[in-house]
Amino acid sequence: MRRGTVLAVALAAFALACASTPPPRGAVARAEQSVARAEQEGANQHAPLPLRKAQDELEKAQRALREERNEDALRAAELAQAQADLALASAQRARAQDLVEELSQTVGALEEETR
Amino acid sequence: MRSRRNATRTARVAPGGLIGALLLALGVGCASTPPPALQQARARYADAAADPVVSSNASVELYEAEQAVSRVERAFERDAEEREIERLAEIAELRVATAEQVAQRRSLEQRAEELGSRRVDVRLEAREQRIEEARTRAREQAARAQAEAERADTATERATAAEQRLSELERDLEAAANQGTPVVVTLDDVLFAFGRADLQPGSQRTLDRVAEFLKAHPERAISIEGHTDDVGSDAANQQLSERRARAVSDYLRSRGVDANRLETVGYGETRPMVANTSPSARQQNRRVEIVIEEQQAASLPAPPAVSAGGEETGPDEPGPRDEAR
Repeated sequence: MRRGTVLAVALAAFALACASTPPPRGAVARAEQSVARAEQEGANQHAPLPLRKAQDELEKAQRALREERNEDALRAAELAQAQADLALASAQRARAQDLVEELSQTVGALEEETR
Repeated sequence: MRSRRNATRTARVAPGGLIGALLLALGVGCASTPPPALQQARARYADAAADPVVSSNASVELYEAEQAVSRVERAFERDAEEREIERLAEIAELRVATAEQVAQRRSLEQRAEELGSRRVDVRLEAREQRIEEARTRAREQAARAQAEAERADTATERATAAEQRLSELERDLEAAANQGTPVVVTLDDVLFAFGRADLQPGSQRTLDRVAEFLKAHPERAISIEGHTDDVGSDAANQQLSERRARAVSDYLRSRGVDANRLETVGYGETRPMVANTSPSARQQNRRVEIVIEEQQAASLPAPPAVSAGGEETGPDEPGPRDEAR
């Protein structure tokens, strides 16, 4: 009797958990896009670690989504998103830095020539 | 006041027993000591928020980081699993790091913009400087030619001097064609008699050569500058200098140079080549200078070679341009 109640409560809780988290397709799709964008912007070169972590979490999210573990999929997608955003921001920062260095050299050389 | 109250409290607790106090501390500790992950996320956020570069350049990203930290706080308050708190704390730290990267990128982009406009300024300065060098070179040549003409006794010697001058012009124009350097061609005393604007026959060979160059290089911008000596009123000299520049411009047009390219300007007596102290010095100051500006990608009439939207780069880039004198 007591064991049965526990089981029923557990089943109900499980059903509720499943019902409360719909498949996070939007979150996974957004994470996919952000990872792709970070790759395009040179994160491979300038921010390899966050990009790699984003790719791993994205893979976890995609697998969980296929296996209908929606809660896991959402968690992994959120992490993938945050890692991908950092990878993109780092890559863009690195490129801005390269541009500044290149311009400093050009201006320096021009000033040298004018002097 | 405050220390006294503390003292009385301590006094009251002491008899209650050491064990009770310890238990209380333990209980309080378990309920409210935030896990290290949350403490670290809070600290990382506080550092970033205190950095003026981040707060001014990445306010939106910083706000998102703040929200991410709040999520960790709420998870902690509702006693979420340690793993979940750690996951949310990791997201919060990633948001903080993102805000920092975005802020740095924006300040780097501002720096790049400043450097970009500095580059344009320096290029303009360099161009001015090269024209000035060409002008100096032309004046030296003119002074030398005049000295030689004065020394020359015979017609043959004068002809040799004129030939030499033309070959100097030839060398300058060749450099102008190959390296895009600016050239200043000075038409001096021999070419304009006192108070007159019409060209003397001797100038024609020089001008013919210049016209030929200009027709071969339709992309080069030129300006024709007239000058006089200091005899006569400023207004009259101003007019005379304009007429002299126009006389040269008219001649070049008659040799087939596009009239739209022939911009003339009169400087009157304001820019003498030498001080007006003797008749021969005044003779030197009566002149027209044809300034052929340096080759520029931007001044091409139709841009077949240069793609639009790119930065201004052209054959006028650094190249060492030191001719033997």
